[in-house]
Amino acid sequence: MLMLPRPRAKTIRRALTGLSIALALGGTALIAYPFATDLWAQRIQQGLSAEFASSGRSYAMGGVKVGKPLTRLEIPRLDVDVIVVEGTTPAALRAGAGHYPETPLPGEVGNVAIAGHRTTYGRPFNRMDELELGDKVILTTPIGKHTYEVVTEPGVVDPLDWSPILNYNKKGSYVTLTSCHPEGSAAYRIWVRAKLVETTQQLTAEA
Amino acid sequence: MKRLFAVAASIGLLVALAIPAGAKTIVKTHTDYALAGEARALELAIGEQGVTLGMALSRADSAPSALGVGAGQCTLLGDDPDPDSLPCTDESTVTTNYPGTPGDGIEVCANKLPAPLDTIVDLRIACGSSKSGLKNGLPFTTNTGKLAHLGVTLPVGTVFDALPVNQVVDDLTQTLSPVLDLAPKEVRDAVENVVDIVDGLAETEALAVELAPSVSSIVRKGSGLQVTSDAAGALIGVLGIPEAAVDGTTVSASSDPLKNGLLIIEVGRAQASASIDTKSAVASGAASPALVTVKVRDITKPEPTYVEVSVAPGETVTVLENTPAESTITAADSTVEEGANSATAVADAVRLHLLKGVNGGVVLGLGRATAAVNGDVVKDKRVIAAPPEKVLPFTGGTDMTWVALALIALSELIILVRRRFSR
Repeated sequence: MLMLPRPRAKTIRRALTGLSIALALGGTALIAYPFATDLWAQRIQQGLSAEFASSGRSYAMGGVKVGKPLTRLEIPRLDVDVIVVEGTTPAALRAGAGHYPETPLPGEVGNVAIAGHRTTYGRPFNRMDELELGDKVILTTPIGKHTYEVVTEPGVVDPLDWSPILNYNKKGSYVTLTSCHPEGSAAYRIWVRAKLVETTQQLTAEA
Repeated sequence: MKRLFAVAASIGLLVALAIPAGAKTIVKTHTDYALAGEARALELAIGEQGVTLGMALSRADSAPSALGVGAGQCTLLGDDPDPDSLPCTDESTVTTNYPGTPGDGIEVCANKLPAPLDTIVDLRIACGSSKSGLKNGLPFTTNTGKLAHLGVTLPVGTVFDALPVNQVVDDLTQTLSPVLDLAPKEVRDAVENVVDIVDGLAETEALAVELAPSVSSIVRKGSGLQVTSDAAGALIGVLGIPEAAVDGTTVSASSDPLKNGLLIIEVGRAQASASIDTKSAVASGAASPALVTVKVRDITKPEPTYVEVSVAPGETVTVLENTPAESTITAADSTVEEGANSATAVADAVRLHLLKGVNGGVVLGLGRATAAVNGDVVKDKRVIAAPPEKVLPFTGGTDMTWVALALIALSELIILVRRRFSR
């Protein structure tokens, strides 16, 4: 046993105790962080769902602001059901998924693009790599329900490569989903594209 | 502790060294270029006196800068005038430059020549205008020199005894006599004697010139700049002959040389242009000389009747040979010299030596236009910070599980260490 003068030993013990507690708390926080973000996103989604139900007028007028609900995204085979907000800023993406504002709206001609979290904030795109050709992706807006079918295998691109989003000039209506890849890393981006196969008009009840 | 501090400092230094790794070496190029143009409407010399009328000058380079001069009236300029010290009258000259005085393009005019030319040369409005500036990052300048009307009169009277004008009149009266001998009787009868002719001439202009404006400009064209110099076309009349009716009576004691002159010379517009691409410094030039037509009056007929003679570019034609009114017209030619990064275009002046038998005559130079460009592509090596690039949205948390477990393990380790310190 190490023998030291009493006052000094007491100081060292206290310092080590504090350090130990700090490290333990830090480790615990890191483990808890993804769960905390899931809870946070769940809370946001509850608010968005209520807001989405009465967003017909603003959507019809084309004035959906960043952070506000834009469309409901469903992927039945992966059990995904999330309200997608407008915008892809870090604050907007705390809802789980956001629409690239540079791209068309759901159901419009062109390439609609949606980014979603992979491991945090509800992780709606956690199993994106499991999507297969023909899988249904459904986007429901206050004015219509648009059903897409996956037409490409999941692909991986550099984070600076915007070509799957912006440089797609093929005629028709498509939706492209993106997320980080691999899981737990932001080294790359994974993407999948689906083609519009059916649109159903939806009558909204004005509030 | 010291060891721990050293380790931390080393890590910090490594991080600091890693920061510039984001910078890039970028090789950029820029083009140095210079353009120059000049147009002169008319240069006139009577004896030892001379004047340049209607001059426009333009300069520009890659600084960027532009300089322009529009002048109505200057002394003889020579081949390569200095734009900063042109011998032009202030009241008819406008100078603009960028950076500096951009100007507004409004004309300033003078209507009087310096003595003693003003006694025999009637100048009606010589004007200059200029405007310079920067547009879309490139310099421009537009300049005009204009002369509305120039008349050379031959006044008589004792007032001008001391001037060489009298000698000119005397020479004219003597040398015109043989010309009159060839005229029809009706013309001779209409004019009783040589003095009447001189009187008639005194009420008209022995030489009349009307000019269009001269323009020199440097403006943007496509991906580069173009300098264009446009020298005036002109109508020149020499010796208006009084009209006579069939019965010999004088219709008019005065006559307009431009309509009833012994010689009527039409000089077309001369143009020179050169352009340079401001990115590649590739240059090109073009020039078109003035076309000249000389009409010589058939004085055997009382009514104005003309024989037309065309003067091809580079050719010299002499009319009314062996008479006091002998006149030589040399039509301008044009030259273009092109290199990879330079071009020079010159549409030279039409030179007229009129009334050579009358005290040396009048020398006119008309329609000289020049344009020149040169440039070079220069490479600059610069190290600049890489511009921020837009990354696809961040939608994946970094997996910190192992870090968390490591921190907890470290916490346990510290508890063990703590136990070694006894109370």
